[in-house]
Amino acid sequence: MAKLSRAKTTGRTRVANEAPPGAGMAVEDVPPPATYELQHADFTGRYLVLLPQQDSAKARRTLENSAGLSVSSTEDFAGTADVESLGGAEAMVFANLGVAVVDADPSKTHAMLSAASLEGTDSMIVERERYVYPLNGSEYLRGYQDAVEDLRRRLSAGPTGGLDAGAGGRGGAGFWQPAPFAPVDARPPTHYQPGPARPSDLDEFFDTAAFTWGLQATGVDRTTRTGAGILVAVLDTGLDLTHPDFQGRAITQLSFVNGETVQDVLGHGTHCIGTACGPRTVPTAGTRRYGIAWQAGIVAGKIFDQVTRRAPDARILAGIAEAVRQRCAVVSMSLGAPTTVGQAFNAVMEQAAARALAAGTLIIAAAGNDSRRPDVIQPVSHPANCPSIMAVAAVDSKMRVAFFSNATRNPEGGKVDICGPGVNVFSTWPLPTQYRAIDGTSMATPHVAGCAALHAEESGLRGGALWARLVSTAKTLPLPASDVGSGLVQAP
Amino acid sequence: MPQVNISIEREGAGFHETVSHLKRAGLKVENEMEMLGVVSGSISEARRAGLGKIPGVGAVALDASVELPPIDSPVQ
Repeated sequence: MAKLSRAKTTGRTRVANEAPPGAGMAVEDVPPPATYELQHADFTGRYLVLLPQQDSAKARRTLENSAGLSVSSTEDFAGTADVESLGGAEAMVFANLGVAVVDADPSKTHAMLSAASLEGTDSMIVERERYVYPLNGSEYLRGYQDAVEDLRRRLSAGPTGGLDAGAGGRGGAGFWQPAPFAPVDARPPTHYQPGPARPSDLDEFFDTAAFTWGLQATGVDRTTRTGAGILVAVLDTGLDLTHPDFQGRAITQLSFVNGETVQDVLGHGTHCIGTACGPRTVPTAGTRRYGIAWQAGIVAGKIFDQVTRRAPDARILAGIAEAVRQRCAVVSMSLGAPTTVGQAFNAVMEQAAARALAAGTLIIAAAGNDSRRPDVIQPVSHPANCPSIMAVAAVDSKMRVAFFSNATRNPEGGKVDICGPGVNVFSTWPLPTQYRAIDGTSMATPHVAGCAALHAEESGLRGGALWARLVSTAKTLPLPASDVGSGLVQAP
Repeated sequence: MPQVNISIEREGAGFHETVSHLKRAGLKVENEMEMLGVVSGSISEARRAGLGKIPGVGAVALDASVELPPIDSPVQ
């Protein structure tokens, strides 16, 4: 993996990412690197304990019996728990979250750590609580839900993608990492807000002998997910069915163009399908992996005819309808028509997308290439400007917004939701060319679609829930949300 | 004749009832997509404005198209 500009992450004493789950308690006692030190109190003095997921009752007994803590549980209070005071006890178990908050004197804290380490079979993770939360219980719980999910995600990523903030995990993977680029605020934060990326996220990626830069930047090089069992529809110029990289794949051919088969002669669709669903092992020597959901079912929908190179809305709608009918979890649409500031989204397309989303089909579309930054920044194209279609911007290998990438300029419809690798993207091209590296939000879009298939496989989520998963797991970048939405899409 | 795409807010029997009204109003239906609540078709310019007044019709949009950049363009 080629990355430059890795910020130093020294000064961290960490056990958690060195101890695999199941190896007993792990402690992360991680003062933030000096660069990010806050000027206000960073730790609350309390501890956040991630309980064994399947047996929070056992963990509660451990806290009570071995560590001698008085323990309350949210279950004791029927939704009225005073979470700020931990229900008057030294520890409170949030049963639904699989987490406990401990506020005890140092001797008992030490006993807790020792006791937890003796459990042996289940990993109990202890972290120091960072921020003071408002008394509002729901805010408090939501904050912990985010924390727990993030912690679990990092642990499940294994030793290379785990708690090491520099391993390419979600931006600023340090627990409750403050926003480093924001001016240090003297006021304690009152609730968690994800900040811009740390400098360590400003990696530059390069294509290597093994992976394209885009697969590295999106964590596809580290995921175990394959897209198996997920159907990905790509509505485009079709697919070169003779290409060696797609031999043996399950491919559904759908041509919405009269008189044309799905066979691609323009290349655009073959490139996009390559990124979203290309193979794990590329048969051609001397090249590299460029495809994401390598076991997904490919639904190749041809909507652009090779004569006019155009696709009318009616064909786009027909393609969406068929994708919904075939229960595709993901529809990738690397297409668009320019819009103007103030232009409303197409209400017919929006209804179609909303119905598709409700039926479990997530539509992902290119934000468009009409900008010429820094001077000209154009709004998100049609149909990506529909609120129920996920709009994808493009970044380059240095995590800069691509000069052509459109932006949120019509807040009533036309929001950039996420970004993907969209400059110098290597993927398949119809024979005899075979491969080609090109730029565009068209190339960023199938990165998101491929990752969406992986998330759909892993989580079982569909539609709006899958959308939420994608944006919540995206890697925060130090760039305006109007340019990159929630950030760079990440594989699970 | 202009090509149009029409969203229909009613579902089930209501969807089909609205499609019937659209046909009577002059729409030549080319694709009924009930799962999306959308129909595509064509209609004379003179009668197009009347479609929006039919009960159950959400929006009537003239069909437009998206176009690929030139094949040799570095930005796609």
